Amino acid sequence: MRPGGRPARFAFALAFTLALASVVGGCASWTETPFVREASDAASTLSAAAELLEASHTERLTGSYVQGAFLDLEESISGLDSELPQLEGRPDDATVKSLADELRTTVSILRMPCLDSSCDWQGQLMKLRDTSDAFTAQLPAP
Amino acid sequence: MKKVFAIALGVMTATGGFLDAGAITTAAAAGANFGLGLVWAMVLATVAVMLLVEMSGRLTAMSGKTYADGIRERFGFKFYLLPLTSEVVANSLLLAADLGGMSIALALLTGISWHVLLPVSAMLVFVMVWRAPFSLIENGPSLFGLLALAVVAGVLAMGGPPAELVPTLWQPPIEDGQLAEYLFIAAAILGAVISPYLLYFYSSGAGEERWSRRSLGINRATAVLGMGFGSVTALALIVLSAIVLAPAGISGGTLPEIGLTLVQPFGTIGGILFAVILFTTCLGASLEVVLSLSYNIAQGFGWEWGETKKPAKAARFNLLLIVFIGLGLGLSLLGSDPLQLALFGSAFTALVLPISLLPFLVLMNDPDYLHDRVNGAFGNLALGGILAISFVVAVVSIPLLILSGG
Repeated sequence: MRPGGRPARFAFALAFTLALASVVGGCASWTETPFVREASDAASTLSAAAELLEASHTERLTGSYVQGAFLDLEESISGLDSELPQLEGRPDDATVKSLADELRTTVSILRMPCLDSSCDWQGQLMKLRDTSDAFTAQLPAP
Repeated sequence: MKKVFAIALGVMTATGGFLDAGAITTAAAAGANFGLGLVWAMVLATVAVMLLVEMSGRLTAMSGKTYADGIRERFGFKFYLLPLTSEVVANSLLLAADLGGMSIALALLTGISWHVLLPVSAMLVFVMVWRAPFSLIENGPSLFGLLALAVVAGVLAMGGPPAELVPTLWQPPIEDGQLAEYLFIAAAILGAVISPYLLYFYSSGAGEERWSRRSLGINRATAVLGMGFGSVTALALIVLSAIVLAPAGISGGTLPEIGLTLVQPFGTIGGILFAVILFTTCLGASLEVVLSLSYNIAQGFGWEWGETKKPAKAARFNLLLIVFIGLGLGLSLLGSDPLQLALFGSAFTALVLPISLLPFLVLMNDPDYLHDRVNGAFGNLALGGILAISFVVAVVSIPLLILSGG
């Protein structure tokens, strides 16, 4: 095998990646647990939903935009309540159950958001924010 | 005057056509999660794509042959099957992601589920590739794509990046457990921006427009200015995501989340602008991907090809267009999230990048194709650098995808 062949290139690539990783990462570990990843995504989705719902009631967004957005947001977290108890890195059972219960309520909000003043949109907004905060509380401190 | 107009049009279309579902997804995820810490990846990818686009246009202008023709002739049909197969897999994923992106944009405008709108998006792409002239396909969505400059206006409207964000440019905020995600997004940015389909499409477009030695000026201006201006919109999306999404704890994991970047500064108009930008950029990318795939196969097998030819004159080429739109629609209908598809597509593109880029090194130094316009020392050095990066990205992209949880 001549110098500079495939093994040499692979070794170079690996060394470069590890060097880059050590420079940019310092002592940071490589990955988050599946539970932390899902909790972080759920917190983000619900926070976005809260922003969208508030924007629609302060005339910064149309109802159809929020409706279309909520359909996609709902899809991204639907089924997570039943996945939570199986995820690696999850907290104790009581916390998981509480999170799953809260999530089920908020998914129903995403399915039927209150887009006019005839219903309790502020209650929905508070529920979305509270559930987002509950998931954020499960993330490791920065 | 005609030349100035052609250059201006080329630059505008390249600017408007820079973003697609992959670039929007990766740029927003970068800004929302790591501040300005991945700006370097976007700048690196932009310089690489500028050089590669210029080379693919120069190859066609000087030889009258497309990049796909060149690979097949110079390396043989068996070798050509390698980039062809990898392009078919990667681009089918990207096409499904772009059709999904178009549908979500329509969903934001109408309030209807994006799944229901998928066939509408596919039909629109079909009608355009079947009926519209090449100039409309090339320029139409891209000129609308110029609306993406609203992202730059959004950064200005938000008062620019705050002082505390600036240090993240050289000191990325990577928290414990986020290293794999950081590196994965860097690889995905490179895969999303240095898309080989863009090179095949650009080269085939130059063939459709019968470029010659006299087109070299237009080629250089389009590559450098168009891609340069285009990357400004992607960079602005990184900045705007860092300003708007990160403080609200939003990671940009879905397209409606990313839309908030324009809702915050511009309200209702911002929401509509985001939907229109998403729709036109994904439409433009869908058209480019479908045509690029069909060009690749038709040119590889030596079939009659050409978007401007009547379907009966290039029957197999036109059949391919229908097959790939059907394939993209099928993948989208399986229910995968377009944003996930865009990330997988970008990661897979990164994996196969060296296969598509390696032939450049040989072709761009072959005087039978380039005559007196073969690559100089700088061009070869730059190409060598891009290839080295593409090898690294190829080796790490899939392990990082798995480590970061996709």
